[in-house]
Amino acid sequence: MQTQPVIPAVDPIPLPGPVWLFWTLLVLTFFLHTVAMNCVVGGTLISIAARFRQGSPFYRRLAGDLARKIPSLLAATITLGVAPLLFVQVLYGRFFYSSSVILAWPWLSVIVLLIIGYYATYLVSLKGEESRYRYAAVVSLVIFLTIAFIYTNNFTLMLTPGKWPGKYHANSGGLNLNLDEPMLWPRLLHTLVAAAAVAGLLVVLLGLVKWTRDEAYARFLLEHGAYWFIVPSMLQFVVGALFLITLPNYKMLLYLGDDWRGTLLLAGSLVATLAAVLLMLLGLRSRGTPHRKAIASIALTAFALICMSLMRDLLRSAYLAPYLEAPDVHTQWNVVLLFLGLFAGALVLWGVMLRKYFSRA
Amino acid sequence: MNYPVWDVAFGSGLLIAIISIVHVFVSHFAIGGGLFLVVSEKRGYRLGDPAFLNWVARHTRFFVLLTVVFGAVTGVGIWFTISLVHPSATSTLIRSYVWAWAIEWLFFFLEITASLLYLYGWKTLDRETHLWIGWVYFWSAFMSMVVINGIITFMLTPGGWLQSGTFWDGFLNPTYLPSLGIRFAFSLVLAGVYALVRATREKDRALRAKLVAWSARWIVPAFAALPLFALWYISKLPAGVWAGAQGRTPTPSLHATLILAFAAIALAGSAWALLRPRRFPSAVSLVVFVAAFGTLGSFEFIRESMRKPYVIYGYMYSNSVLAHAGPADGGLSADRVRERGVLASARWSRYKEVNPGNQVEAGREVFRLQCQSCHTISHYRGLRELIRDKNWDESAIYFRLGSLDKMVNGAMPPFVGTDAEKRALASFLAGLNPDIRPRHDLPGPSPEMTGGKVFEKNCSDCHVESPDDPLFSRLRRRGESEIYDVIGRLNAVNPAMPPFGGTERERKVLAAWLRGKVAD
Repeated sequence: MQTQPVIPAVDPIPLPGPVWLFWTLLVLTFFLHTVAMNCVVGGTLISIAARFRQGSPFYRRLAGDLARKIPSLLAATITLGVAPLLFVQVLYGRFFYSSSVILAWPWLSVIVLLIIGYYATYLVSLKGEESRYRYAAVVSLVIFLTIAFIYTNNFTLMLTPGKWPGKYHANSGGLNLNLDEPMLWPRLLHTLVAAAAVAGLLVVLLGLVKWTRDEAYARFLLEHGAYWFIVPSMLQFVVGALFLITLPNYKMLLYLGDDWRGTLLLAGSLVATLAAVLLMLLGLRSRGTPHRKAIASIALTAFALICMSLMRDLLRSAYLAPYLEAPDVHTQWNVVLLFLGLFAGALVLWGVMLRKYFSRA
Repeated sequence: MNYPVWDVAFGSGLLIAIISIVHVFVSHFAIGGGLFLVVSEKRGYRLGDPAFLNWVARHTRFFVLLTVVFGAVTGVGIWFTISLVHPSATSTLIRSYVWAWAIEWLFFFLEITASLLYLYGWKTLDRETHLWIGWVYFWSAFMSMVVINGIITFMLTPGGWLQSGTFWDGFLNPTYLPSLGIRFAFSLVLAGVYALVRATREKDRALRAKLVAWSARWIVPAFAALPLFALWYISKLPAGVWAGAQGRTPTPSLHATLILAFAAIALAGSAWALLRPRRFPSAVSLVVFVAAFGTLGSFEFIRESMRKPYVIYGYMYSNSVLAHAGPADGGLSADRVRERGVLASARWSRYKEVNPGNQVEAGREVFRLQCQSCHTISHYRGLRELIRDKNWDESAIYFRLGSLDKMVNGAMPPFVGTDAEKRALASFLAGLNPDIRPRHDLPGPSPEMTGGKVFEKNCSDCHVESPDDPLFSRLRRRGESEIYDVIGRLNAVNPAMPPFGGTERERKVLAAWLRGKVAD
């Protein structure tokens, strides 16, 4: 039901930093979050699929190898998810809070679901492949898909204030979803198919790391990972197109010539994906080590993901353009610089810690 | 008022309380427990005790599984919850302290990475590197508390921020340091408490005794330091805040009693563990655990309820109305809402005005906008039961709405809105107990009715029995008949006061009692 949109007033407190800085941090941390999230969701899927595959004994081994990595990847997903959640509130708080309240119970249920799904991944990871707990992986996958579904509901509802009053007044207890949104399912599908492809690259990467120690298994990982990367990536051309045509006409045209940034980003992500698939195929056929081609393929996919994160941001700006005002900014530079300095320091410490760990382990 | 109000039948405030207390009980453990692990590991090396070290390694797994999963996710959960229940306050905090949160996130990131490496490193790393990662873990966790403590204390004592609006004025506020002391001491207590519970599950009796004594050594001194930090904390509270928390305000008064009881039990139990580690029963460790949970829970309850009627002290009331008008207040300050009316000011209200056809429904809407952030109809802080207990009819409610900010030691924000809205709210609230009759219609008082009881029933919502209270100071040295006369025209003395609701006999008894109190 479309009615007169109700937009909350802008918070009287000015933004404590320049918009470009918040925007950069939002897009950057969101991209990193997406990579980790894709590895968790797609990785769980690949691990479960491998568990049920007969044939090579490598399937069971892969299932276990992936399952053991999921908890740490999930920790990364959550940690990297906190930052964009913070910055989206800075830039789009009025929209985000409103849609969250309308979907309050599903939204809050994410916390409970996540705790259950998280412990399920640890159960599989700690109890091992042979225990009866390995089926907990299915529970965690279902939970992750549900969380993705709820997130897509909230982050699409956030874009359409016209629908808020109708939904809110129909149920002010927060039992709503955004099922009437045309882009809901294609957008969700677009994300999940990407997750499978990116997790395929994780398997490829695993193969590259293990190349010198166990080439037979590594080659299996390369081929199996490439399969998971290539098939969903090609499927993405259909799903992505579907997503595009469910957008309202003028928003679709942003990516088809009306806006040079959108058009460039779409073209960039398409070309990068195709090139990544091609390189991966070449890597599979190469007689020697496939490292250079596979890594180039991974880099191109990362580039495509960055393009897609920017396209996502562009779409949000297009939806919210009628309601956005230039914010009042009062930058507190001493704190901004403190943050940036600590950011650099934390990054160095993080790197040193990982290096120490992996060089001594 | 700026955002849609989320209707939670059992009380959205209770939801925040539950999630927060569960979270802090784990997040404080995440700090103290980190220190406990590295210090215990070092001790194990020094003593050359493999059984002890083996236990520390197993304890690490428990620690990581609890803090990294449950602790971290419930932390995000608080954020989800406050943005649903208090979106306006969350927005204020985010805009004022986004950089603090961003900095905390850096430490959080280091903390999570280090905790996983520390866990997995037990098997693979040399001692030195493993301990180094353990220290990185502890310091990151500690620093994340150093940051978040600034935001939490800011909400109660925003200090110079109210005038300057600058980051550091609010962050390094009066209660910052004592609160950090309380929280750090408590995180050491919890390090010992969790270890104690797990220690008593050990089968090896010698190891069990060693672990019980070691855990207790973390609890007892830290617990003993807590009252000192608490006194320091109290001394830094604005006088009004601490005074307001005492006496008649139900939540802090209850929890002040509870916290002493819980702390005494936890301390006694852990002293037992310290003095008689070999004979320390497992069940007592659970008692200590529950009592420690109660102590921390009560502390959080006291802190939250002392902040009433504000969510950010002196800036925003619990119901999101801004205390002071400003150029960019969006029409959501108390003065503006009073002018325009709450229904017209609230962006998401179903009714924009009160009219004869929607009296009760509009009143319900006013309730949702002004009262629901703390009250429910009949669950947590339920108004149906309160009104029934107090036997307030519609007019009694109406008058009390006029002086909400004087009731229960000033724990409530003033009612803001038009007179018609106040009447609509009174009519809605009165409708919750349709069988209540005005008090003077009720049968006469029971024979034991005393002046004190009449005072309790009729005056104590806004007045306290103290010579400084205006009721007593203004009646000083007046005669009984004069007091009797004043009781008969309360509403003329101060329009905010309801007319005396008692019977003729109660009026006489009260006059005589008051006369006795103010005679000197």
